This record gives sequence, structure tokens and C-alpha cells, in this order.
Amino acid sequence: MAEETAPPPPAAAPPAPAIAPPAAIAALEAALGDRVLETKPQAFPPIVRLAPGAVIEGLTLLRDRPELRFDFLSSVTAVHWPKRERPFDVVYHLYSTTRRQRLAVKIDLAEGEEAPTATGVWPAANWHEREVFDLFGIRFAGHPDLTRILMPDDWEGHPLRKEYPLEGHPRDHLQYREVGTAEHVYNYDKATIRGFGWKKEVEKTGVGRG
Amino acid sequence: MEPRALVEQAVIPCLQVILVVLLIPLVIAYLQLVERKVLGFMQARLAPRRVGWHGLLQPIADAVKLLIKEDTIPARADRFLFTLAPIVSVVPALLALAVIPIGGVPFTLFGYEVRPYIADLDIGVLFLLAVGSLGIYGILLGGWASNSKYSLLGALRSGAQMISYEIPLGFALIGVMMLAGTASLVGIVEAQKAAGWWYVAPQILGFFCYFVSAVAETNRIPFDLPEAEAELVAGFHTEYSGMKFAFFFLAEYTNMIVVSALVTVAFFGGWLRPFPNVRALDWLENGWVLLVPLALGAFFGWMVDQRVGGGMRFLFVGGLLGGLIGFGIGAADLFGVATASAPQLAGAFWFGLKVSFFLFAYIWFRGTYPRYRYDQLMDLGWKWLLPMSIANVLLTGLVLLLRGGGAS
Amino acid sequence: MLRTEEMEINMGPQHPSTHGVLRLILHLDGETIAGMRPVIGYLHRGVEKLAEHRTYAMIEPLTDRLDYVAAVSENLGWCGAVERLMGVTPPPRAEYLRVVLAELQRIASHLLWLGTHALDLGAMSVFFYTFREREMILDLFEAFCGARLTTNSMRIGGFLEDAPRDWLERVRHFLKIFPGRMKEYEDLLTKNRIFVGRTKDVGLLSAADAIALGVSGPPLRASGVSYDVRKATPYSAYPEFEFDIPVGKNGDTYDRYLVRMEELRQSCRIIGQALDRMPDGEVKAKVPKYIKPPPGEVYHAVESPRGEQGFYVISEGGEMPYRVRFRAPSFGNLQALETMCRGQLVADVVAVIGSIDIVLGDCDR
Repeated sequence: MAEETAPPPPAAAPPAPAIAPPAAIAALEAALGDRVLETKPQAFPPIVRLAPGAVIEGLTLLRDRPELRFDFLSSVTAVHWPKRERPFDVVYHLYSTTRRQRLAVKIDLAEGEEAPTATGVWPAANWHEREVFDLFGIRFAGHPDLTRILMPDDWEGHPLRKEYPLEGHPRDHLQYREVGTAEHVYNYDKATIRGFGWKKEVEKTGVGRG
Repeated sequence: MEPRALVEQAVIPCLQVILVVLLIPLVIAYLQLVERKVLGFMQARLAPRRVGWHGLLQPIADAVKLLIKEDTIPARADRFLFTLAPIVSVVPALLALAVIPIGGVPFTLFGYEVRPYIADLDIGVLFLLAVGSLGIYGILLGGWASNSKYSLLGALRSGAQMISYEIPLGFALIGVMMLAGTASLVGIVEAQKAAGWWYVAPQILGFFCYFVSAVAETNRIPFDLPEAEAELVAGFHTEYSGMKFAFFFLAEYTNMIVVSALVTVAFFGGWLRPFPNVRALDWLENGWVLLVPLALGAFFGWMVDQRVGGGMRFLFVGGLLGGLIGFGIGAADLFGVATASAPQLAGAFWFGLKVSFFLFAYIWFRGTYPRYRYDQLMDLGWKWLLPMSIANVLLTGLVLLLRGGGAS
Repeated sequence: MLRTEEMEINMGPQHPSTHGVLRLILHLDGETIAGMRPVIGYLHRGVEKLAEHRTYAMIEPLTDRLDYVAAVSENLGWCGAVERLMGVTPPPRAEYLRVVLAELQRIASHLLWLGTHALDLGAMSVFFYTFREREMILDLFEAFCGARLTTNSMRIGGFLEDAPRDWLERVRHFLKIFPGRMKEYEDLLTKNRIFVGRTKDVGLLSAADAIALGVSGPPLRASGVSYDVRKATPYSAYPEFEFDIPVGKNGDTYDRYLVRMEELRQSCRIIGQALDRMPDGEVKAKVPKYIKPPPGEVYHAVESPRGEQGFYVISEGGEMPYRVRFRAPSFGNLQALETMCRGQLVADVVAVIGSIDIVLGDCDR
């Protein structure tokens, strides 16, 4: 939509809550060295980008180090950047129940590249990774049961990819045709049926794909 | 055999049987309505009100619905057994009604002696227990013949539950039989009259065991896991529809009535008033003239309240008016102005009052308690009720022995 | 020796007590559960994909329909996430009203949980009593937000309009009668032998298992872990209120019941404090007409009645977000179902599912 006037400048960002984990980032940088690709400590929550090969090591470290203790995996998700050379980001959101901190760990993947599974680190990752596989097509090496979870088991395609159309592929649509039916209007208070009329109804004749 | 004896011994009982068989479905239908109304009252909502005045035609509508429903039989079910199962459930339940007495003294109708029971067997209690056990077959057959995993599970559970609770049921009644010295139901009530108190007083433990077992026998909450909708849809009668389902339903409610009647007869004096031998309370034999208008007045007051709202005022006003009318009639009788006493009617009234109370207790349980899990249910039956009922028998025997042997 | 076989039973997706379209494939050894596999996705509507094609304001009604039982919590989380991206702070009155609405929603959601849980276990009357109170709350929502269930209550930056004139009085009246009603439920259930027998030591979940499996909300707190997003990473006006986090000991169904009952009381406490200290003023911050947060990303979590409801929003500066991820508490909690049910009886599955309190709209999105 075209805007008539320039929007006012955004207000100053509110002070970041005290969950900045320089300790986590420092520990990761110390342990993994140059496999920590970039860090954004000012984001909410702070973001650390790792090389894909180092992610399990990094996550295990984050879980086990006594001063970090990121024992709770909030979610595993993915983002698709089709214009990038390595188009997929897998994002792990972590939380420490004892230190009350959040952290986001990202890795980037090329098309068709497999990510290592985090189910060994947190069993919670099981379903989250299944969902990522279901909706993006990213496979997780070593996952105990990598099957579709939200879409039907025989679905083709991965809906959350950017090139997947919002309305779905025509081959997956249901077919309709028009028939005529009578319309009864039911009067609940008097428990009577009043009136007759013809109404255009649609009837499902089947699913488009075989 | 002379015609009078023939009529009295054969024809009249046959007529009674026909009357019972015809009336019981009607009574059950309205019992169902009462249950829905009382449950609704407990759950802060208005129960059926649309069909007929305040829902009084609802049971008729339900009966018609059940009759005209399509009679489905699952695809690979055993047709013969499938149709037989509800019959096997209903017949023993109705059969049990043959020995339930409403009064003790026969009365004359058109010159013929009519007894307030169909048959008074010397082994009445045994007959009841035996016939009650037969009903379990119907459930097992129904679950098996439905050819469905859920139904089978439900039927097996239900069958095991009923068999387990038969034993404390029987033992609880043994205590009563020891006190009464007879197994005939009329005899038990006469023994309570002679003893001067209802057997619930000496046999409180037995009463408790009996009633809990009875609730379990009839598959009602808190023991209705086999029919729990939340878990097994409807258990053994999942696949039944229409008249066959109605029969299972009928069997369950008839069992409820039989059990309530048996509790009344065995523990609460049947048709006796409280303290049956205390002369001063003889006017309670006319109690029905006092209480019936009271109850009716309260009931109609409540119905009016349902329509116009406004709280319990109507209930009290209606009850008060009814009570005054009843009191008037009673007083008239007391002063010899008019006769309102008829021992048979009084007996029937007291019997009905007590049975109604137990049916209300059934409904009350349904509205209040969660249901027991199956293994907890079996634990309760085998580990608690059975030892308690056996202990009751031993205790009763000991007391009788110490008091001088024989029936007291 | 008798040869026994495992029976495979399918519960759902249409089942009176799976609380939505959840399918469970149970492997039974007699009555004991040898294994279980939940199958979800029957209510998947592709909300995350839809959100990429809607503006930020248009996504808020979508969030209503995620966890349809606790729509206000979802709205709160969404508006909070976008406000964080934009750097906007709603005025104090708006924050307080948001807290009141969110806590009312918590009470309503827990009442629904209580009613259906008791109904599954056979205590039918509790269902009617809790829904009677829930109706009062839904009437309050209708007066303020316009809808009972899918409230779409907040806007980015605050509210569209202030509360109706007598609304706060009605909330106060509700708070006055609610403790008495709570006593009714407790009388019927808390000390009832049958209820305790059905729920004690059923569906045990240890604290370590719960954290490892990503369980959040009352099931986690009942296992002994004191993690409540309202206290851990506070948002909105919660830092200004005093309330306790109930924590259980054993992690069984009975503890989950007790934790939620206590949460009802704490919610009443919070609402009371909010009403007493309600500031005056406007209810909407100055936000541009077309909401375009600067490029960035945020993960904002709120404590919905079910657990940690997370919103991961990536903005590229346009009117529509680039990627939205809804972290559903029911999704995380349902993973733990198999651990909770292993070795239990079939009848317990119903009790355990009821105690986790899942909403499939939330789980499947």
C-alpha cells in the first residue's frame, strides 16, 4: 500500500532486559574458535551462528557447562532464504532454567545438505526436527524417526519453502461441482420447518490427485 | 380345583405378571426422565423441558425414537447371538420382580384374594441372587457378538466386575437371613416387624456392603467404567441401536429397581413404617396421606419455579399447601371424621418411598462421583468388600450365639 | 506357557476425550501400555505460511485461532513480539489492562481444563459448574473485545479502545464470587478418594525428563521445576505484581491438578492487584498506521495457560514478516505423553491427556 506521509521514526529501543549472555558467547568462542561464524549479543535473544559441523559440539557444551546450563530446548526451526548461496537456516532457541537466559543458535545449510540431529542432546528436539523436515525438507542425520508430522504421510512437497505456493498445488486441490438442493429453514423456537427454496450447493467429487 | 382357587392361584398371578411387564417399561421411561431432571438440578441447568409440559412427554418421545430407529447389525457379527444378548439381559431382570413384595397382607378385590406380590418363594433371596447372575450372560454375549474390540473389552470388564461383586452382595444378605431365619422376602419383613426395628440397625455393615456392591452390579457411577463414554465409547452396547439398545437400557434400570427394592425389603423394613411396633406411631401408617400431598405440592411448586424462576419460594409454598391438605386429611382420620387408612396402601406408600430414596441415591452418586479405574474397582470388591461382608456374617453369628441361638 | 500378544488400539482422531483431533496408536499388553505413538497434524492449517502473506496487524486474528482456548495469551505474545521488534512500549494503562485480560483468560482456560478433566474421569457435575463461571468470563470478554473465544483483543501498541465504563466493576464482582465457586470444585474433587485414586501416581514425569523433553507450563511446574515465563523473562506489566508460582513435588496427575488450582488463586490475586492500581491514561501508543518494523528478529515468549508460548518473528523491514514461527506449548508437552504413559493402564491415558491440557489448534497450528 502506498503511504501518503513518511512514518514517524521508531521510538528508542527499550533497555534490553538483563539476559545478555556474554558468558555463553565467550565460552563458545573459546571452545570452538573460528567455527563460531558470527555473534549478535544485542539481539533479543542473543544469536550465535555456528558452522554446521560444530553445532552438536556447541549445543552439548551449552547444555553441560555448569555456568551456562542451557537445559531447555524451546524450539528448533528453519528459515528459507532462497536468494542465498546456502539457503536454509536452522535456528535453535535455548533457555536455561537455572540462569534464566535465552540464546539462539543458528547454522546455515545448503540445499540437500543434512544437519546433525540434536535429539542426543535434548530429546525434545525429536518432534521439532520432524516438523522442520516435514515443512522444509531438511534431513537430520541420526534422527530416530524422521517422518512427516504435520502434513499427511504421503504428501509431496515441503510447504514452508518460499517457492511453495500459498494456495497449494492444483494437483492437491479438491474438485467441486454444482448441484441443486432444497433448503429448509428450521425455526428452533416453534420447532417447525418453514419455506422451501432451491439453493446452489457444491458437492465434492473427489480429490484432484490420485 | 375349584374355580375360586384357580383364579386366585393361577389367573391373578398371571394378570399381575402381565401388569408388571407392561408397566415396567413405562416406569423405567419416567425413571429416566426423573434421573435427567434431578441430574440437571444438581448440575445447575434445566433438564428436558421442551417435549410436553416440562418434559413430561420426553420419555414417550424417547420410546418412539428407539422404536423407529434403524436396526443395525455390524457386518461380521454373529446375528443370532447379537439379537439374543439383549433378551438374555432383560428377562432375568424382569424375572427378579416376581418375588418382590409390596406389602405383606393380601387384600380382596372383587371378592378375590390378591396378594401384593407375584410369588413368595421360600428361597426368595436365593432366587433373586441366581436370577441376577443370569443377566451377566447377556452382557458377555452382547460384547462378544458385536465383533468389535472395544465392545469385547467392555463386556469382559463388565462381566468380571459383576461376577466379583456378586459375592459381597450374597454375603451381606446372609447376615439378614441369619437374623430373620428365613430366605423368603415376605418372611424377612415380617421378622423385622416382629423384632421391632429395621435390619439396617444391627446390620449396618451389611447394608453398606450390599449397597456398594449393588451399585457395582448395576454398572452405575462410580463403577461404570465398562460403559464409560470417555474411554470405550459405550462398552458392550456400542454397536447396539434401536430396540435392542432399549432392552439393555431396560435391563439396567430394572436391575436398579430390583436392587433398591431388595435393599428396602432386607434392610429397611419393606412396607413397614419406622419403628413398626411402637403403637404411638400408628398414625404414620396414614403417613401417605400426609406426605403424598406434601411431595406433590413441593414438586408442582418446583415445576412452576422452573418456568417463572424466582428461587425456592414456590417449592416451599407448594410443599406447605400440600402438607396442610395432607394434615387436614390425617386429622380428619384421627378424629374419626373420615377414614383414610388402608394398610395395604400405607404399606405400598412406605415401600415406594424407600425405593424412591434409593433410586435417588443412585442418581445422586451419578452426579457427584468420578469413576473408579478398573483395577481399583476390583481391588475394592475383592480386598475390601468381601472381607467386610464375611466379617459381618461372622459377627452376626457370634452375637446370635451369645444371645441364645436361633433367629432373634 | 500362555502365549500373549500385543494388541494395537487406535484412539482417535475422533474420540470423546482426546480433547481435539489427536490420534493415539496404543500398543497394549493386556491393559498395560507397552508403547504409544501420537499422530498429530489433523488440525494443521499452515498458519506460519499464512503469516508470511499477511501484515502484522492481520496476523493477530490468526493467533487467536492457534490456541483457541487461550486467545488472549496468544494476542499478548504476538503484540509483545512485534512491539519488541519495533521498539514500542504501550502506555501503563494498556499494560495493566493486558495483564487483567491475560489472567482472566488463564482462569477461563483452567476452568475449561478442570471441567473436561473431571468429565473424563466421570465427575460430570464439575463440568457444569466450571462452565458457569467460564460463561461469566466470556461475557466480560465479549463486553471488552467483542468476541467470546477468538478475541483479537489487543493491537500493536495497546488497545483500540479503553475498557467499557463498568467493565472493571464487573471484573471486581467476578473476583468476589469466584473463591466461593472454587471451593465448590475443591469440595467435589480435591479430597475425593476416587479422584485422588485416579490421579495420584498416574502419569509420572520426573523433573529431569520434563526439562529434557521440552515440557513447559503447569506440567513442568508440577514436576518440581519452577519455570514460569512471567517470572523468568518478565514481559508486559508482570514485574510490578506480586504472585507465587505453584510448584509440585511428584509430577503426577494429581500434582498437575493442584498446580492449576493454585494458579487460579494466584491469577485472582494478580487481577486484584491490577484493579487496585490501575493507572489512568490512554491505551494506545503512537505507532505508524502501517506497521513496518525495522529489519531484525526476535523470540518473545509469554506464559500461556498451557506453557511457554514463543513467537519467533523475522522482519525484513516490510509490512509482512519474513518468517514467523509459533512455538506451541502443546507441541512440546505432547512429546512427553509417551514417557508419562509407559507402563500405565489404558484408563490412565485419558486422565494423563486431560492433565497435560493440550489444545490441538496450538499443537498443529
